[in-house]
Amino acid sequence: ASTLAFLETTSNAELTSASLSLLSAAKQLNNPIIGITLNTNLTLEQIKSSGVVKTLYFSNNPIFKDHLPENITPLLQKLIQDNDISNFIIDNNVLGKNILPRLGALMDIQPISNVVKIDSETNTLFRPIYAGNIIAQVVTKQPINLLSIGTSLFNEYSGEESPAEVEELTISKDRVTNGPIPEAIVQEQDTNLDTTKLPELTSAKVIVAGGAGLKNKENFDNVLLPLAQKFNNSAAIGGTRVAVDNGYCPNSLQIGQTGKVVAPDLYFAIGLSGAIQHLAGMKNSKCIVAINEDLEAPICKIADYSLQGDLFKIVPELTDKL
Amino acid sequence: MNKLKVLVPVKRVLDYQLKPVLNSAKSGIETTGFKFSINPFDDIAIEEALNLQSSLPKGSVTTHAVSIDSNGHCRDILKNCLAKGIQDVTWINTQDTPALEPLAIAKILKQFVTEGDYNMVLLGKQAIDDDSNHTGQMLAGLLNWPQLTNASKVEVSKEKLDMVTVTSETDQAADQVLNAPLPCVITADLRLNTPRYVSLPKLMKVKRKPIKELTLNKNFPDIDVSQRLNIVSLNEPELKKPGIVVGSVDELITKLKESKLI
Repeated sequence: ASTLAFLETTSNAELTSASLSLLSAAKQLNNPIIGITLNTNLTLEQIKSSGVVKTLYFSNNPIFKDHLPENITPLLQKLIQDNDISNFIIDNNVLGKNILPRLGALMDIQPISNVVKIDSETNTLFRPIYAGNIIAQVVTKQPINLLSIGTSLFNEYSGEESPAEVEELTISKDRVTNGPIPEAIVQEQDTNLDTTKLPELTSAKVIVAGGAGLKNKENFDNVLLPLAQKFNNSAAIGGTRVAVDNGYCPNSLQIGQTGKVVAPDLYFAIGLSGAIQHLAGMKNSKCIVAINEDLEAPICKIADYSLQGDLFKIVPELTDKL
Repeated sequence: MNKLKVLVPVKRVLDYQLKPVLNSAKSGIETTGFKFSINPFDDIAIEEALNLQSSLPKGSVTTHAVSIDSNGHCRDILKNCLAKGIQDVTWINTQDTPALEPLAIAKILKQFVTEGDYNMVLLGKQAIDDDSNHTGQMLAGLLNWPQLTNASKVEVSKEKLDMVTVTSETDQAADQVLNAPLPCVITADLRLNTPRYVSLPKLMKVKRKPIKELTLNKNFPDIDVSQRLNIVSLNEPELKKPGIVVGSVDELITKLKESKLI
């Protein structure tokens, strides 16, 4: 029995921090780990020395370029069946949410999404439901488990092991599935925030998040970005549903029940009241600072430190003094 | 010209504004006295189906909503769909069956879609009760159809009604545009549209309209709906200890320094 972990790589030819967290979760499942990475720009040497998995499969076949689940899931199904895999795990990001259920349908397995804690002694998995207001403890009766992991709640794997065997997957046909495949075109979003210079939201140590109180996009950028920049490239910017709907920030920066789920060391909640859907995405942050005009706002109930007042005065002062 | 036959599966859930309360057995949530509504993402899917109905050539689009539920109150939600302009509604009654997991729901939907010859299934990306985000992708997998998820824009080719273009969320800042032939499954993101409200006169009009009812045992006897997962317990998350109110930026900085956060 082995665990198959779906790993993603950055443009700098490294495993993403979410993938390192995924490996920590994989470790807790107590089986040898097999990795798979698709459309990677890693060289063979880099994959070998990543050193955390027993075997690493990869494919740079162009059919995986757009990460379409219609193409990826039949491949995963075959890998799981051919390798005596008992657990398949993937990040609970947009890609994972696309792949996991489709794979479950192909294999007649009910997947378990957004696992935030693993009790390996009792084989119990914990997952939040009802926007994190309830935690379900789940035990599976299935021989193969398909899991997605809330990677922000697992530490990045940092241990060392012997180098992996690397095996390139040969995909004989130009397509691995019989059904029709969508054609994908990447569409750039109009945004002033150069998010490429900021760390990934889900792995950032510090997050500066804003909501309706910022009032417009200019304020959102001008007030939040300088504060984030005080943290030497370790702070990311995030927003609430309202901030996204009003165009203050792109959808990919939305934190919440159906957006990104984050757990940084330090979370600045600025001009946001804390709807339960938003709290679902950030309440596991280690330290929450709320800057708000209203101390009765739900965000102040879960904040470690609340500071009442006008954010347009407080945030620049804080930025200056840091 | 092709016809567009749209099916919208809808789920009845605890209203999104309410905080769930665990029952004393910790086996589920309290339902008595709590308001239940259509899953907000499914409401957006309904709205999009209505938009397609009104924007594409008259007579080329049919819309149908279906709810798979053990509770007859889901008929209220289906009535709302009718009042908004959905042409046909069905309740699949799952009474006397243990709670259905997304895989079982997707299998029931697959049969319903195949028998009804639908070529587009439009549904919410996620139900806000169990937060699985499974059903649409599973249905697409079972049918071997393309899946266009987290849609913030949906367009159907007007001339032939055979292609769909969907703007879809990715993990990066950029969205992707997916072109797919029909049939396909589309799941709705919050950004797709703003659902309309139903007026009372419109609700009154459909009050006596009958709702088709199917049952699992009679109409879906071959589907394996057994539970694959065992939910051993439900618990409320541990409460954080209350925080403190600081009086100034300087005090905040002092506290953050004490905690070695800055």
